[in-house]
Amino acid sequence: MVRVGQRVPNFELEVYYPTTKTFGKVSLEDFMRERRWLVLFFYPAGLYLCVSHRAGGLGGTLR
Amino acid sequence: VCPTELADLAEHYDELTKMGVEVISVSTDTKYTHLAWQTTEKLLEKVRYPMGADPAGKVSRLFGVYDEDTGLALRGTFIINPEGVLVGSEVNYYNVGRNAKELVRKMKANVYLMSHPDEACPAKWEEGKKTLKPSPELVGKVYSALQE
Repeated sequence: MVRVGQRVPNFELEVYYPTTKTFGKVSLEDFMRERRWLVLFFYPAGLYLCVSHRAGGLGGTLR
Repeated sequence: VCPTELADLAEHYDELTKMGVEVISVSTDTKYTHLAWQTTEKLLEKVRYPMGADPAGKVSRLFGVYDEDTGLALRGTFIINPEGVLVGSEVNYYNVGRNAKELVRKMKANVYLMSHPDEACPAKWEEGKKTLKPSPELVGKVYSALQE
């Protein structure tokens, strides 16, 4: 697990591009090569959790 | 919470890309689920950033946000600088949403400090506001340094 101040090991991610409705693959190295910053924004899986939140709130709905 | 956070982020995406920042949202969904969700949920119609698929939880584990009990990723935001160093980390539990405006503020500070490495941004720093230059002379004098 990487901590603040440490170099992040390279990783790859399959991505969906909403602008073109296509799929692709990105790696951390690609962004570093282009001297760009990268923000990763993690969230719990789409539909399921959001619906359970509305329906019953936290707690038992998560499992 | 999720679609509102993603919609909020979508509203600030232009501002971030103009600073040289790419944003990728990541969940343990597959790319097919991303497509299905993004094209049906009205809140997500303005999303233009790539949506990352991490169904095996590899990247989520790398950043310590993989929840083994649920197989889901916690609400974590990570900032990686152009040299590949992790410079920002924020993780919240399932039930509290983030604020993309605060992410933009932090990114402005990070981008500024990349070209001003001997300075630091104090609390609530906004673009154009005073920064600090940590030094022995500054010890005990932060208040007056900020008044100057």
